[in-house]
Amino acid sequence: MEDEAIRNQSSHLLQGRLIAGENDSVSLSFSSDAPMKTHSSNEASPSSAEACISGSMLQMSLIPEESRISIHNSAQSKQIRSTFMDSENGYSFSDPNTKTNPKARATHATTLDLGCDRDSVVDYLKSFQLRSGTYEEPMDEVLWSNLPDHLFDAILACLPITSILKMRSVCKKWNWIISSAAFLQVCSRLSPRRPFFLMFADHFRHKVGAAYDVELNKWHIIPLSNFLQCQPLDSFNVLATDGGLFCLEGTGIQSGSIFVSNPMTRYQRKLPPMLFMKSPYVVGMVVDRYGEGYKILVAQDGDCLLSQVYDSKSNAWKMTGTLQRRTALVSGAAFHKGLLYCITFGPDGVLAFDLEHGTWHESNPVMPSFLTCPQLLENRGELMMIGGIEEFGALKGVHFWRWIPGTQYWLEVKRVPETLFKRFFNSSSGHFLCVAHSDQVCFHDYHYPHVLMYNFVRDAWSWLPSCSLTRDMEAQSVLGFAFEPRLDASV
Amino acid sequence: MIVGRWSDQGGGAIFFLVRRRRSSDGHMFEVDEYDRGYRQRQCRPLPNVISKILAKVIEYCKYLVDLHTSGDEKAIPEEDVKAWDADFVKVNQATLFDLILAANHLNIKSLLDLTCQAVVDMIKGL
Repeated sequence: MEDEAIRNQSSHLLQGRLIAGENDSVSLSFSSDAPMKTHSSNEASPSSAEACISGSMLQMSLIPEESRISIHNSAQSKQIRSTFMDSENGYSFSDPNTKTNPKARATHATTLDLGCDRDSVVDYLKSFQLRSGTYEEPMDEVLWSNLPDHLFDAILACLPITSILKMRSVCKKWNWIISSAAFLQVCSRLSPRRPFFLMFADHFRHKVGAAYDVELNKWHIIPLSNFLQCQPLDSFNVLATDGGLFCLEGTGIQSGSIFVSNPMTRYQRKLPPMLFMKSPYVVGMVVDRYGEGYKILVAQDGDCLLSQVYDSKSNAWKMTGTLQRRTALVSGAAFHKGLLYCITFGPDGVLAFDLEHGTWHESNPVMPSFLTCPQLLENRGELMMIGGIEEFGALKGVHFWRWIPGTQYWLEVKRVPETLFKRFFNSSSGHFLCVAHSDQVCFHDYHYPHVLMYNFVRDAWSWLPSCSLTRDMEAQSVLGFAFEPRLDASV
Repeated sequence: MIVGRWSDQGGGAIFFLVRRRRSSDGHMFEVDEYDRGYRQRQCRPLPNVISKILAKVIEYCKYLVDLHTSGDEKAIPEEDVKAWDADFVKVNQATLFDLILAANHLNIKSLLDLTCQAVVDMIKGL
């Protein structure tokens, strides 16, 4: 009884507004005229939270990933941190600095009501605009709050994905808005976003990841746990990616298991074990944009080519067609007009796998001689190949070819300009990495710190800004995959 | 009054005719929608779409018609299309708001995408 009385006495409601903070963060701004009354067992030293909150305007920074709120009062330049328990519309927090027993700590709870709903999102977006400083007319909150929900979702879906992800972790209500089926459906009907190029660096057996965001032209550090929940010393290998999903192989304790995950939503799924094959490897993954399913192709090369396919709709592996032909290292896959094309060596050639019927097709094109590091890609509805031509073990040039449909020929359409080639590729060991997605291609080499990017639309070459991964560590960084960040891709 | 018809290269062929019809309430606009070549007669009265906004929508649709019927010989470069799009959405907020509602009501996906992106650009201060 007494505890309850205490609880009621010291609960305090504050009204706050969410505004855009530094570095794309979300801050809370609120005013409280009445000083917070807390019941403290130690009357002599009032809780430091109270001392802080008695100002009229306070800044609070939400650190949702760590479930913390940092409070500072600029007048007093005092900063304390509190743990919080989030409620539906905001946060309740208590000050751990007060030396009270845990039961009493709950009585110091102060509830911050953020009033999280679509109106608060409009508020936040407006503050974002005001922060950026460059605008013609400020956003009219009254006008935009009247937009029907599904149209508002359409606007939210156009925001950069990092902004959407940050908003999602602010409070439960916003998380609900952004995770709702209606919003995800709007996302799925949007035109494809510009891709992220993924780089991993090994640092003392740890892997760290970063992704280059083409839209924002900056690198984001991606925690590995976004891909796979793994033990500290464990790691994973990315095997394939498509449609925002990743196919991963665990290492360490989880070695041998295959997972599919979406690093944006952090959902992961472990796949059932493969059907037995002596030395299988994943060739590629294809996500069906309309049918909400995906397929993973696994092959084993050698004297003849064996294959099996995982279908997410049935959650099962199935043996598929074989090819009676000597193949080696089936790789560099690209999906084009219903077929998964890949390159095979010894003898060189292009194979196509029909995922629906589970059959292989050989095209036997005339491959360029002395081809090295080839990568297939689809661009503007055409199948293309990027690769190097080597001579006596050294790279002579890097070329782009286009497949001429109905024939067996590759037509050379582009070549890396001489100056760029000398600067970037000459120092390589005759080997380079090439990653392509939609209209961008990135080239990377172990020995060269910068990443070279080619844009098909603008027919322009550029250097990516340097990534903190390559700067800080003497690590070998590998640019491996490109993906389109999607919130609606489900594992 | 045939206003515009175009085929959406994204896989669906949508044509529509907009007619002005005199009714007891005054003028009303009707939309006939054609989907994938099959006429779905949906005489949708558009009392909610005021004429000023409809004029804007018609302007957009006419541009789309021009784009898709120009043929390969006169392929319009992407920068020009982007520039035209950017110019088209240089309107005040109220008009942008109404355009979004109109694009949604008339089910014109590309216009809806364009206008929503314009709102985001306005927020980002571009």
